[in-house]
Amino acid sequence: MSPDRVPPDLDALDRRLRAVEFEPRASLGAELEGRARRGERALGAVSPLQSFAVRSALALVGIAATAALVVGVTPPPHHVDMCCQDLVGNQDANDGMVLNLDPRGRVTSMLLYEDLDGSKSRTTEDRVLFVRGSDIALDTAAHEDGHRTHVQCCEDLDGEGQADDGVLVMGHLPDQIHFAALIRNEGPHQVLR
Amino acid sequence: MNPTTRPTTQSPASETGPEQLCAGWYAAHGEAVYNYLRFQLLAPDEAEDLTAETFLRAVRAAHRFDPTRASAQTWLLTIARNVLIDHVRSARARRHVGLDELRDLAVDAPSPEERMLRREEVASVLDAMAGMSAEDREVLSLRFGGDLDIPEIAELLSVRAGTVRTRLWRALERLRERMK
Repeated sequence: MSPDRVPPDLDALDRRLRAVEFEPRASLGAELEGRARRGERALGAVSPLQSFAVRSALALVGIAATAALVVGVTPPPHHVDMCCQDLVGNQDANDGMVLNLDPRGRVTSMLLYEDLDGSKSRTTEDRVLFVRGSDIALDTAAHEDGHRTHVQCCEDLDGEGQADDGVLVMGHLPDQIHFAALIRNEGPHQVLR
Repeated sequence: MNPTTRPTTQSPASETGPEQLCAGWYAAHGEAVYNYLRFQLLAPDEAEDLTAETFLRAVRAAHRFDPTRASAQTWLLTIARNVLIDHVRSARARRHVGLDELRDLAVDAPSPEERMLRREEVASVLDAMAGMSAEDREVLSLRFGGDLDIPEIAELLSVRAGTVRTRLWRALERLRERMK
């Protein structure tokens, strides 16, 4: 600490406080190292998946809109399939993202997946990690690595008088939650709110 | 805190794994982060949990650390501050500090009587701090727990050094009054 001049009348208290020192338990460092090695995620962290997805979606929207303006024509609806990167931060570059865009270049839905079959594109063999868009189509089976997506529906969570709200939770068994969101049941479809 | 052990700025090497990064940062800055949190929390368990949370968040955000903009210690204490804010939002009301909650206090006193006196003195400091405003607790914790000097605190809080100096002296005055 640099010698910032303490007023003389506060000097004694300043010295008393400087002498206060706590020591965390000796095992905390090793415990932390193990948690970091296992890739344990901090509770409030924004995952690379979230930040990358948002940045990518915005970039694609911009590119598509600019292209439409420059060319002067309206492109047809299309989708983009990008694979493979480490979107979940587990050191495996085997995650991909599918974006559906409308003719004006706006992203209408987004799907993140793990490329389980090594095809480097979205197939029915892949594990769906996240869907945002018209319908939710999630893999809710428990996986060997503990990954689990759970949907609990339906209750009246928003007080509108209809039991059409639910909760979507993604995480690892038994009790780690990485993502949670409210959903709404719309007939045969479930959409994120 | 022993100034000779003051950690130096350390940038994350891209080839370093998360566990090595976490271990290195914790070895260099764990004590400062823990003490910063401990000055504001009444139980060692809480401070340890939030210290762990701080370093896990830091490892996740390592790519955003720029040693040319801030020292590793200032950056980690900024994360610890955010972790603490999140925690306080959901925490219970503050309570009295019991002596058994000072088991993590570093005491060099040779006799049991002196160690007990030291614990009572620190308990009175933490009790007095617990009743102060969040702003007072923060500046005192950054100074005496986080071991930051006034310019570093100013950088972390995004205010001028003169403002920190004024806040710090006033906080010390209020603390002294509460301890009378």
